[in-house]
Amino acid sequence: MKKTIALILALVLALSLAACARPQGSDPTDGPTDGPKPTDKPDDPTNPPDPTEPPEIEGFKEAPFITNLGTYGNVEDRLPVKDDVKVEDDAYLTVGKYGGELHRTASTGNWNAGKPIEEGLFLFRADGTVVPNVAKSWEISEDSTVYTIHLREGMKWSDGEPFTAEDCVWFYNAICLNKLDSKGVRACHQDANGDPAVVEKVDDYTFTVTFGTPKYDFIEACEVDLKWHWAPKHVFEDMVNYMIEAKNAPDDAARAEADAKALAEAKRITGVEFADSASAGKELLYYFWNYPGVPTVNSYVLSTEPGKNSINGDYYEYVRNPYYWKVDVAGNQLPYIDKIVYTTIQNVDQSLMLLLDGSEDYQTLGIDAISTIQENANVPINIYEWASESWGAVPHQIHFNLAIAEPHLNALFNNPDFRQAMSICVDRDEYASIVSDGWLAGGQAAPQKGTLGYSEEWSKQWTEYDVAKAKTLLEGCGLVMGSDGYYDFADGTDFTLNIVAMADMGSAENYAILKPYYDAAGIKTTFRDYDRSIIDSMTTANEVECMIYPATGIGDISIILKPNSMVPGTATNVVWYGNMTKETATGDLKTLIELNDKLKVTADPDERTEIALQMLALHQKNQWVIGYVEAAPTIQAVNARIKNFPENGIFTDIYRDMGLAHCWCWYIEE
Amino acid sequence: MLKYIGKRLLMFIPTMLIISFVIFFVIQLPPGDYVTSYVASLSAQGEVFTEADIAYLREQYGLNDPWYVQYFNWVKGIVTKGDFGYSFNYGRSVWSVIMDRLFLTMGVSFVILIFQYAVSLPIGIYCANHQYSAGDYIWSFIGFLGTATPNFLLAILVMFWVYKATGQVYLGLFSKEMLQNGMSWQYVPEFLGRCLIPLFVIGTSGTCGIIRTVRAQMLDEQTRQYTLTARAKGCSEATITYKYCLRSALNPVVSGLAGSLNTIFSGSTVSAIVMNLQIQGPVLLAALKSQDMYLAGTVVMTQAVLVVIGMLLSDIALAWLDPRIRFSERG
Repeated sequence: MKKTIALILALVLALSLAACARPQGSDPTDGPTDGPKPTDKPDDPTNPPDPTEPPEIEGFKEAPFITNLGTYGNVEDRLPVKDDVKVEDDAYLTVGKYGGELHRTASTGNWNAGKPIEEGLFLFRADGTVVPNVAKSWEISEDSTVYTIHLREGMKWSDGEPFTAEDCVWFYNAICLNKLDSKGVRACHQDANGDPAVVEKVDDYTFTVTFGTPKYDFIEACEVDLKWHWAPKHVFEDMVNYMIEAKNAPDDAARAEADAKALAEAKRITGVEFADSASAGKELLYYFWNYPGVPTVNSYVLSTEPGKNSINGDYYEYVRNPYYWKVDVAGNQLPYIDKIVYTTIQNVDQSLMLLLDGSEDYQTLGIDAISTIQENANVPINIYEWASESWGAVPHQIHFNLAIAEPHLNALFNNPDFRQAMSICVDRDEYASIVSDGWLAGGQAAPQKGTLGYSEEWSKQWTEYDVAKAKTLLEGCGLVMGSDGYYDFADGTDFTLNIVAMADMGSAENYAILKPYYDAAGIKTTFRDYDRSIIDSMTTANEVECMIYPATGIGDISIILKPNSMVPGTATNVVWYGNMTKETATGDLKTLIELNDKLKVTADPDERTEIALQMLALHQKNQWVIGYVEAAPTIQAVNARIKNFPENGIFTDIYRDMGLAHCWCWYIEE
Repeated sequence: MLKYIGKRLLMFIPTMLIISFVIFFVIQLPPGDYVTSYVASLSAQGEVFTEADIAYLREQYGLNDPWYVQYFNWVKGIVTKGDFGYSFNYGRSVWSVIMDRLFLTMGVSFVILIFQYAVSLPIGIYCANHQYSAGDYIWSFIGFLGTATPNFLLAILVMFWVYKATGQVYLGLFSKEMLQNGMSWQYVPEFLGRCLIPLFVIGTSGTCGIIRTVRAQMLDEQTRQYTLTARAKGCSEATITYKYCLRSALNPVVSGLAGSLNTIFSGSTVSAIVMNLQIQGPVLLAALKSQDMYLAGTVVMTQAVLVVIGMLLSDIALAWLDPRIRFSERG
């Protein structure tokens, strides 16, 4: 298992960084070129390259489910023109058969239901390269300021209306620029000065994105920050116009009137009543997959039938999109499975129970669930171990808030000797074997084998168990042993490390194991767990001193693609840098932020990798976050009746969690 | 009597105002607000928020005002428009969220209530009539065990045993097929089967209390002079037990009913979460946790109203049941 995961991650190291520095095939020296070149792709056993010649498809076939509905006409008319149909031809896929329902459970729909079916303009592969998806191809101008995106001719929305460049351009100009979807202009659409790009339609199937200064990573950044680049203009045009009218209204009366019209439109389209037009905009234009009646280009669309159409309900269905634009190598229109049905549960443990009795087909679980499944399952369940993104196991990371206001603690936390003492005072291997039932070994919060920045030295840094040395280091930090056997600050003030955690994550048990180690080193600790929302507001208010199992653990598969957990100031809910910004950061932390800024304006792929390595070197030198246990794989537990589930993959938000599994290719074989 | 009821109803208004104020104050006491919990829940699913996003959300939800301004607007909405506000969690009006689950909650709770009384009254009477007998000890033991075992634990154990025995996980009152195809007669047997576990788990919790109350009261009444007189007159034991003693013994039981109205409305919470019951309790808990304050406020306030109404009803019922209360009323 380790070998396979390392292999996948190694491919990320070897290929993705160069790839994400510059979109493939777009070397400024040889002028505008076509985006993706199949030959650029890596020799990856899990995701082998597309055959250079796409398989010749005789004719297209559709699901009996659609045929039986009898209202949709010929499948050829619903697909894009023949050459623009996307063929799913990964080597691990077999031609499946139509029908059946995929059973899932979730405590809340939203992203849980959205990520698996999400379609982006582009698509990440396991190796970090980006391939065409909704976009058929793209070109980049020599100076990296103009991106020309080609769409698939004849592609349609799930309601059968043509999907054109107008939808993409209108989305940006009407919705993003006016911030109607609550997110506004994403980072991927901003140039080095923060100015928004200009998005223009060339023809029905082509549009351009033009930046004021060179933009080197639009393709990848778009896939990370934005993903979709469209909204159904034919459905939302009136609503959006009223929203814009409300936004620019000269007085309250005019605003209220336009607001009411926008709300009436939202209700007409979805049947849902919204409190105000801002929430209607946020929900329908951003969380669009959550609402019935909103056309998408996804493989599955929320049902419009009452009782099955509310993600807040006890039961809801995502039904196959008759106009989905992907086929398998035999010309069968995807997806194979007719519906994804969700039943609402109130506790994640319930979904494990339902997996065991076969009521649920798929769930992502922690490694400790393996033995539960093996001992109790009533149906055959396949367990796939996917790599995860984190540096070390997130549940066993300890974050010190380096931006804490209290001066004693601030000085202490920012002292690397203190962090080293906190790291070496714990017998990792003993701890890891207790907390993971022997599944995992001790480790440090460091990049996983096979990813950029990995070194054996770093993964073993500060991992030796040495209480005497820890004490010496603490004394070196100016702490003085008090009469109670615990260290105090030099001025006599009591030093207590107040550790917090999220109540639903089982950290109390882990702390109970850690506490004796800390006690032995003379570090007085307290522990309290809080509800997730309280922790989050404490984090936002910069009140957390020290946390086990942070909401956002440190580490990701690429510091270039998604630096949020690794670079101060790039997200709001990261404990270790708290409310630190470029202005308040000092020393290596300031350098880290500056390097990240530099990365954004660097074109040369080697130089970008070099900067990323420098950033990671700072992390290695400072070890701002301590990890006690090696990274655990993510367990994908899949009912054996589900076929075409890839054995290997990486579970990371950038790839939309289990997104690499491409659920539109799954089929059921009882 | 009418004057008494009228007076009680008038008292209702200031009581509700005070209660609503306290509820709102308490709900907003924890640090943070709905936006922090909203952001926390979406962050847990991988969404990234910036400071600007959060400020935008807070403005959108009207959470920038101090809490007393929010409270005033809420009460104003209720009094002037009958509008109880908007649930952030559900993105709908509070009442539509409550109505969604009201019917089922009331049905489930009512059946459980009937179950509790149907089981515990006869047992209580039996135990009193057979004090210190083996039967008395056995029933008391079972009753105490039922009360001492936390419901949610019992729920987990029962579900586990049922899973081991049948290979099926019974979560919730409705199977996937029922939710998918809508309820019809063919599902009635399964639905009733699915009701058994919650009925047993939640129902047993309250039985011991009622058994002990009835038993103690009955024992008290059995040594009263009027009972002795009745017995001396040659009344049958059945008449003595059911016509005289039981009627007096029911007095505290009926007072206990005051709280039941509120239980019927919200149902149990923790057990409902464990068993995935689609009733009001878990909605309230989720609303409180995420500081979805208008929803939580409205649910808690409705509960308070029902407690007040329940007290009134139980007072009226007592007056009907026990003539002595009416006399003191007149006096």
